[in-house]
Amino acid sequence: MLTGQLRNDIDKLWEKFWTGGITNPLTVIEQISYLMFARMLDMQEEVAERKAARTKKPFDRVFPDTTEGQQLRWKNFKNMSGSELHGHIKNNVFPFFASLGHPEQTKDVKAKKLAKKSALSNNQAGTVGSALRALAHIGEYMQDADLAIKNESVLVSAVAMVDNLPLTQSDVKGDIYEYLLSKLTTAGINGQFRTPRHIIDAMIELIDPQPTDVICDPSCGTAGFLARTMEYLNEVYSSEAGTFKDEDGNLHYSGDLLEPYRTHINRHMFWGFDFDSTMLRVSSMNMMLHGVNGANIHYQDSLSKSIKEHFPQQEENFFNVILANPPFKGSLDESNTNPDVLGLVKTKKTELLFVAHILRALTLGGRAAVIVPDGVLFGSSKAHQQLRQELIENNQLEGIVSLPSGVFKPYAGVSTAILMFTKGGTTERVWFYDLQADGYSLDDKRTPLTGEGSNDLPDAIKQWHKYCQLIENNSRPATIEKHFGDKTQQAFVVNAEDIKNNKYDLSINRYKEVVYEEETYEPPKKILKKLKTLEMEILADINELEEML
Amino acid sequence: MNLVPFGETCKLQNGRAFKPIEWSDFGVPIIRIQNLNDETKPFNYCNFEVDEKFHINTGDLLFSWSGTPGTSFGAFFWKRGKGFLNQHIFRVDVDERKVDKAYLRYAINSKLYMIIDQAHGGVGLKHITKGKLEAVEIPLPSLAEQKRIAAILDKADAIRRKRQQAIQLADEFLRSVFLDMFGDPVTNPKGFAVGTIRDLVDTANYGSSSKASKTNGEYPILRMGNITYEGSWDFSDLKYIDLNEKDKSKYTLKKGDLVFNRTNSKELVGKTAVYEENAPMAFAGYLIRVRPNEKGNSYYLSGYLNSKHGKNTLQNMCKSIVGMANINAQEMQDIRILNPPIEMQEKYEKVVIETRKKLRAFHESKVGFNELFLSLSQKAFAGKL
Repeated sequence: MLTGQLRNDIDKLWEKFWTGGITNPLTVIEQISYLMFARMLDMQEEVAERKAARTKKPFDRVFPDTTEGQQLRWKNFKNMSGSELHGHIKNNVFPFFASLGHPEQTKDVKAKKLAKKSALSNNQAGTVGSALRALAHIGEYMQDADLAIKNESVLVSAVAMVDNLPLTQSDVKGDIYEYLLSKLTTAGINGQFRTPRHIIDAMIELIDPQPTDVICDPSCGTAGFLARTMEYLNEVYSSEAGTFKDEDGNLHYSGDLLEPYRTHINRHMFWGFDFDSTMLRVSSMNMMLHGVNGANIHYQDSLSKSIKEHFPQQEENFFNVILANPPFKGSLDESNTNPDVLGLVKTKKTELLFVAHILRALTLGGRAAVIVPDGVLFGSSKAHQQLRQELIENNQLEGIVSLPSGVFKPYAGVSTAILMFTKGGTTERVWFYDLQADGYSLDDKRTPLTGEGSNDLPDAIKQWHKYCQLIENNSRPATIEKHFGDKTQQAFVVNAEDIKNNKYDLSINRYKEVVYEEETYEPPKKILKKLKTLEMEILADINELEEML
Repeated sequence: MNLVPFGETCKLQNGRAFKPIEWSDFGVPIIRIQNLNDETKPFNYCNFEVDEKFHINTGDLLFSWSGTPGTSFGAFFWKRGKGFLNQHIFRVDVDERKVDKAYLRYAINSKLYMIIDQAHGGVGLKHITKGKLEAVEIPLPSLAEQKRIAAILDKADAIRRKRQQAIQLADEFLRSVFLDMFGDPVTNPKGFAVGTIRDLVDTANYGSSSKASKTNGEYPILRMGNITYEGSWDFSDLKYIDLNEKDKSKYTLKKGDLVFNRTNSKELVGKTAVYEENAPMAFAGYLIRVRPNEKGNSYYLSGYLNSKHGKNTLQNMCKSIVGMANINAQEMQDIRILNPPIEMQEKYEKVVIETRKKLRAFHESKVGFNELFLSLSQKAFAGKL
């Protein structure tokens, strides 16, 4: 978490944008991203320069070694005056970004891929730093970069603020960006909104990703799942020496034990797809600021049949772990939908298609945690039942965490659940958790709550790991029944057989049992007596009143 | 009669503006407007001493001068011990040698409509200024006469409150009878057969989804708002539709049908009532018309679904999509219920019908007693009592 001065500075900058007339939070983040990108590119160049000076070897410059070229560097333009700065950034710096990703200036997809491949082999030969490659990778999404800041004084303060950000501290810059993203409080079209971070974190803890996994979010948005997974790995894989406290008392995890996996993490571990190019920009930047230099963030509608052409490998049997909060109500062009996904469920509902797609994209034994609207769990259409049957008969549907309906407020009041499943095998039993509180009020304000019963997430995670332990130890059904058989508890298991007999209905209400208090009333005769007394009193009162008048 | 401005009969002391950060979980209760007319509302507390002028104790007369007309304006007696007075409430201090507090309360409350008229403020929330309140004229007879009037009005007020109590008791009586006859559904002490609602049902049909009109149409059509939470009817807002010959039997209710609300918010879904009118009415699509078979009785089913246990079951079984909760006809019939002999169910029906008759009489007399109070009050302050 970001605290103290830094947070204040960012808040101030945000306000500056507002008063400068830029009120769309996404635009603000985009603009700050561009500036951060400009600065980091320069920082990168400087490191390379120093290295070259030491080793006396030539290096591939990003910025041409000309007066104009050097003027594009952050350190050389950051002190320009307002009017000069504005024109320079708009007319020189940003157009330069756009050219970075595609030196060959081609629109042809295949050629692009070839170019990328050659960049990769160059990289492996050690001529270009991996961070530089990552920056060039972001360049792909900087093509239409445009300076939206019209007010010169806003621009000057923005540049000054970005210049002050501690972008050299690897674990802080991720926090900075996440803090910026947390200000994204407007829901987009097509049912996009930012998944609350504490829900993301809980899902990551439930799935417990490993540094050898290949992880994907097929509708990545701002890459919240991927970036938080990186944070999770850093936290789990930090030695004592690699953990320190800053002056505000916050713990920082260096992730030093991840070193053996670093190449895998940087190049191959993280995959995100989205079809909103602004989001892709933000995602790439988010991943880079979280220390992942080569995250595979790509423009792709995961449900479209074009995925077979663009990502034939990734489309099927590829990922070990998938974490997702797919759009629930996105509109869909059925004629463009991946026919193999439609083969699993014939429907127009994106929430069903995404689950089907995720099943396909997982490797055998791959695990997923997916947020779905409750309708997926009990919908009675053929497609709904087909999908649930597929999950239970041909895969292992392991757990369902039923979430309270306010979790996505104020964007949506829909009730949802987290589905956890593993590809392949058959389901023996499903673990349910009835989550009543997530640590925030369930109204539009979503104020943080403390105190008993205000947050079930830690307990859900604890119970789930306890259950996983039982399964791992090959416990006998009776043992599992002993721990999770009581359906009046928040966590319980239901046999797949029962679910089959209920038309594969997975709604928790179908299976949970409620403890009722015994009802007590006074016996009818006693109440009648009271009524009689009352009636007599009323009559007496009326008589008295009569006398008083 | 001798009219004096309210301000001359008393001294008004406004409450203290407590800030939310001064609220605490312990200490002296801070008396807010919501605590005046509703004893179930929670207190905020104050854990430090405040100026003595803000102290309140049992027997103090308070006047709330801000709020929504009809609910929170007016004079109240405080009866619950020591407290600190919050803003928007006056403590009304009188010289008890000249003014009787009980009288003053009735007198100023009889002018409430006028006071609210003069209040200013935006939508919903209104305020009356101290000056305007003090200027309101009330009759002020001798102390003895004040006491006499207050005693009469106290009596009339007590009668109407007792009537309200009787109404609540009658409702409790029905629940008690249900429990007494059939036993607690969880423990089933009488050992009845356990089955589902389906065992007792002949048909369960959804109502008409045609558009209803506010004015035109042969049949009134009942919608979900017409069933009350407690399981009776509210016909104050009806719409109308026309039905063709074929739909008449499909979409109309007859006496003794059970009506079940299948879609509503989570708290309200499953509202159930027995249709008791002689003339047929139509019913809308969000309602299910249930006709019991020879083993079941509408009143028994309704009694169960309106019991605490029944309401609990409904709330726990409903499926919700974006704020709306659903229980379809099949799910409703899957609800587990005790299947007592039909003779017992019919006996319960008789008790319900008798009690309801009594209840209607109670309601009518409540209206009567209320009118009596208002009439006495009017006469009293016109000097004609």
